[in-house]
Amino acid sequence: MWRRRPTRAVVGALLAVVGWSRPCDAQVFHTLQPDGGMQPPGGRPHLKPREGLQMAASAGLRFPMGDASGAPKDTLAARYGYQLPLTLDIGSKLTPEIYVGAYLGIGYGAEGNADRVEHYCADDTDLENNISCSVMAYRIGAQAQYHFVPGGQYNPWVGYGFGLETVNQTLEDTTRDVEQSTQSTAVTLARLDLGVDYRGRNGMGAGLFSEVAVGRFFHTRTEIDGDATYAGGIDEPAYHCWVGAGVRLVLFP
Amino acid sequence: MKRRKPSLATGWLCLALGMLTACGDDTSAEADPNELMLVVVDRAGHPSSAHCTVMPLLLGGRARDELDVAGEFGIVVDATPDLVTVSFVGVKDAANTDLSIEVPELTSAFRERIAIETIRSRHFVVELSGGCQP
Repeated sequence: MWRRRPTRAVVGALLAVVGWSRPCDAQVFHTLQPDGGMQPPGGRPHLKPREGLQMAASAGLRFPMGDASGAPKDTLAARYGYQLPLTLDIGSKLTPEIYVGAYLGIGYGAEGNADRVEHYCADDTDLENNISCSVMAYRIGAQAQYHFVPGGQYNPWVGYGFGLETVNQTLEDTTRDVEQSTQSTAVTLARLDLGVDYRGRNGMGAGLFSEVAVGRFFHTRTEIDGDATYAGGIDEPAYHCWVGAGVRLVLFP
Repeated sequence: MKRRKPSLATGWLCLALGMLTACGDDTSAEADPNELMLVVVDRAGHPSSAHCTVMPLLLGGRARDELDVAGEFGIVVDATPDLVTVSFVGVKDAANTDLSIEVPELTSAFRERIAIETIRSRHFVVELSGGCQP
């Protein structure tokens, strides 16, 4: 049987990982029903489109593009490298096609390609480097999605979101007792998503997505050795974007 | 003298050890922020104020210091990783006393003396230098 439906094995494995299969079975009992006379010959009954609660957890990889500010050489890629974001979505399907909800994300990343900082942070090859660097991003916002085939087993969708994003970069040299951090906060003007979900029969789904998030930093804060040396606006704001892709697990897709 | 050809296993061992030890940059990096030292000397030659501004290392970082010198005039130091600007408030001919210093200039034995005349016609000298260590 697994040969006929190999995707069931994939979804089953994902469910086993998150341990949600039993509770989900119970919750979706009333929403998954055979679709009467539309059952294809010898096939499985169609899935019914859903309304109500939908949740998703996604992970992926994203890359910086554009300018962090209008200052020379201050590109987003110079400040920050790739990121590994984890995002939680929670919301409701107002209709089978339209989802509205909130997102909350955290991302761990690498330093950018600015020569000086890259030299400090990347010099770990001799195992003597005492400089630690980190980049963490946090984002929150609202989003809406349009699902093209809400009753299908494979459901493509597009999304738009907006919100706030904060990126915190730190550099610490324990040998010289130097510690610096910058925190830049941006408004996310457009988080554009394109994806497709596989809808399982037990209330779970899994999918792939790609994303472009356009933002603009409006506030920055710098700390040097524990003291705030600047907190305020950015003189020359500019547009940047994060481009990425990933996978997601969906509850009640 | 006949030299033995190293075996494949020896080669892998060397490669592994090399990755741990020899392949890296032997010079360990140290975070070394640039600094601007600022000393204000009054007409009698006595230092009346001193301040060190540590410049940020990270792109997007900024350090801004606003100093008041004996209630006579103010100094604003605004530093980014690449540039530090110094401007004066409450002085005559302020436009000609402001200056911008780029990092390469600051790190090459930079020294500057600026004569200041306040609005109340008191005279000071501001001494700027790269690095805060004596």
